[in-house]
Amino acid sequence: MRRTRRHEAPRGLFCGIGACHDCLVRVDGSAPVRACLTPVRDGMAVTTHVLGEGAIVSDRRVPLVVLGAGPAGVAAARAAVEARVAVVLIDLGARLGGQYHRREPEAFATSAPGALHHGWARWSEDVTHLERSPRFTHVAGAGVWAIQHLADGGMRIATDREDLPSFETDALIIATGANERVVPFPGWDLPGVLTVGGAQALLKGQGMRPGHAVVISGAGPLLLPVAAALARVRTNIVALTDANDPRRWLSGSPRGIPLSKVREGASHLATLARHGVRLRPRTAAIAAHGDGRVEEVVLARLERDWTPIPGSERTVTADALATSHGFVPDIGVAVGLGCRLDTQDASAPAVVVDRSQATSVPGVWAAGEVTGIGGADVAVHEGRVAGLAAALMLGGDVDEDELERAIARRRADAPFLRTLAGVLTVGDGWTSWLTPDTTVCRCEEVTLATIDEAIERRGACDLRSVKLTTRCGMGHCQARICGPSVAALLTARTGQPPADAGALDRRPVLHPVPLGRL
Amino acid sequence: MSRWADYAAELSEGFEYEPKGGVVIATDDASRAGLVDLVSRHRDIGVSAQLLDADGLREAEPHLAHDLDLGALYPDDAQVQPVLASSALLADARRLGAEVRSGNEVLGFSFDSDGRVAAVRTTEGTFGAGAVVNAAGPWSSALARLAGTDLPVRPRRGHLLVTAPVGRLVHHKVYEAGYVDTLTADTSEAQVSAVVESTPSGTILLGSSRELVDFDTTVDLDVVRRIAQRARRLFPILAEVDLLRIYVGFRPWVPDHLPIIGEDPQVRGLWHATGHEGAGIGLAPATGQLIRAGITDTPPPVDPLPFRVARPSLMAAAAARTAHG
Repeated sequence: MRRTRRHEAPRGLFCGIGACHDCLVRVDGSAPVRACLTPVRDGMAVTTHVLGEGAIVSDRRVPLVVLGAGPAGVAAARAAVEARVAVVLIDLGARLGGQYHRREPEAFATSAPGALHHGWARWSEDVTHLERSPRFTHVAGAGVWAIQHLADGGMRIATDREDLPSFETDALIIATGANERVVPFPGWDLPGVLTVGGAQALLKGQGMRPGHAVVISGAGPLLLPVAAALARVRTNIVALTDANDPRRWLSGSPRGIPLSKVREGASHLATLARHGVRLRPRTAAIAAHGDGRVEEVVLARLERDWTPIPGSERTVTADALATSHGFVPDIGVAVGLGCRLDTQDASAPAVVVDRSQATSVPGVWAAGEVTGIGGADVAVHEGRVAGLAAALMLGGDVDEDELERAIARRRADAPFLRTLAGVLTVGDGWTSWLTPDTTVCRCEEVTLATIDEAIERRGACDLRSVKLTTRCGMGHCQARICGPSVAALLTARTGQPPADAGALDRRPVLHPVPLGRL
Repeated sequence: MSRWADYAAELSEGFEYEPKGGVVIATDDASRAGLVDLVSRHRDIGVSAQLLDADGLREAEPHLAHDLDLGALYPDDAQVQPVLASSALLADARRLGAEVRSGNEVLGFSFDSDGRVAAVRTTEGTFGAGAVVNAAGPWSSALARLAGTDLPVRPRRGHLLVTAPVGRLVHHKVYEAGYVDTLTADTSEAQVSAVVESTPSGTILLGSSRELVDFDTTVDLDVVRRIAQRARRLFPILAEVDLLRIYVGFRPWVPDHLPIIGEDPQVRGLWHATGHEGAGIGLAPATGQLIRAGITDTPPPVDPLPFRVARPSLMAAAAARTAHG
């Protein structure tokens, strides 16, 4: 879609959800836009990206802003609106749903929109309720590029929409979700390699398969549903591999996995089996090769810590590789506001919240994946708590028993979350998949060798100094993709987690905004 | 300045040294007169500078706004990437035998019976030393206080905007002529004037603001907007370019705008190398040479007197502060 600035290397669709900026194009000569967020119209002239897109105007004040239109954000908005508090919900996407309930653009609407989605009935009920409420405003297709604390305790929100005034709010609920984590390997920057979420976005959003011969490889709960959905539309799946062993939880042996999740996993496996696709556990795509795009993928069996077993490598022919290795909370907004973080896993810091989802910053709540990976059901429970708690503080019509019941329901998720944390692991051995010339930061094309030079010779000892000496995380995506890998590499090289975990998520400009719109 | 060129040739770690020259541009009538005067004063003291008319400006910077018609070229102006430059010098210092202890906080000093600094106490232990150099930039007053002495260094906050990579739209380091006046306007209100330059990584850096507001790292969106406006006044094409990052940082400010380089008159053995405000990177090599000459008692590369700690202009400022209570 575009070529990189330094090596003029070609790039294709990668993350599919607006994070990586690999798919920048111009539409009808416009400023560059992310193709994955831009619905196609008839007669559009789409050209390759070369130069600079974004708004800030009035002084309206609203009581409550919710950032993010996924399960947590929508549940929070609904709870607040029910308590008679006016809510402005802002999201990058054109429609409510976030990444989880991603829907076809109107123009591609299929006869049964719910067919590809999970939990559709509860979701539609929430959305219908919200859309009918006079207290609810949905600001769609807007990137919030900055949030500034005001002296009176409120916040100023600056968005990149030309028609949208920047405005003030008394309170904020952060429901920004998570980004997919992809560990780097040789060839992961070739067109044709995309995230599992990117493949899902293509399928759900555009009704397209990622390729003619597809390898699906990685780890985490997204692999099976996406593989099953691709199998259902008769995609040629060359291989499906998980670096961990999902049979561990599919067998239902760890405590805390709800039976419904086990059934869901088993049903995906059954779908895959019907289409002749077998899941290979403890196996990963550790390299991709090709001239200008993916042509071959190297698969290897792995030790428990993801170190490849020597001699187990085999090469398969494929024109697409869908890969990702779990999720990391999207904490950029929270970091900018100064919210306290849990940095126990330096590669995936999460926002710390109390029992009512309040962050350490007064007037700011957080719900959903941004507080730790827990899935859509937990996100809905947290969203409801945050919405009620914020509404209570804002003088809304909240019955405190109702809030306590919501808190109790969220507390009941604890055993599941503990088990999940033990299952969704990224083995340290992936660092041995890389060669010195493997790209780690896709935007700035920074290789492993450059990072090693910074650590070993220039004395870079924390995330900030690695960023400033190598340019890792300085490009368009602002470390959304490479951040977790850089933290893990630094930990591996220095033998201890970086003292400034979360530093790569400090983004004074949350989304790129054209200088002309400031 | 030429010392940076030598380092660029000598050191194995690169730091984006670019001897690209600077261009100062007049944007209104007041700054036109000021610029003509500035160029003539600079030439008198041996700095190369030449005035540029509209055509000269267009040739130097094709994307400049068309109504701008007076500027000055400073061919000897050069740029380095400061973090890479520091880390390259550190790597070299290590090769020469220096030991670097990062993440190590100074807690205080120990003195010998003559009151001379004898050791530095830190979170990682005590280090005996015949001389200690205070190069803590905006934090150098705090460090000096730990040694029982006073420095008039304060943090002067600046915002720096960085765009998405767009390639070489700007060829020199380009300053708005008003920049020179903001250097000496010492207020807590933000002084804003445009400094625009491309970097080897394809981004464009937009400065600058100066305000005396202590160590406040909050991004001020109003200052950001004003910097963007000033920069677009010079280069209208920037309206289309994405803003990607904002840095807030602190320059070591002193009341008379000259660096403080030399031994502390009250605490012998404590040497200060601070107070360069925005010129610290450019002047770092010369500062190092002055400090070395002082400590080793060898001939200095330039006259060190104007930079001494106990100079009349700083004493006057200190007296005024005391009088104000």
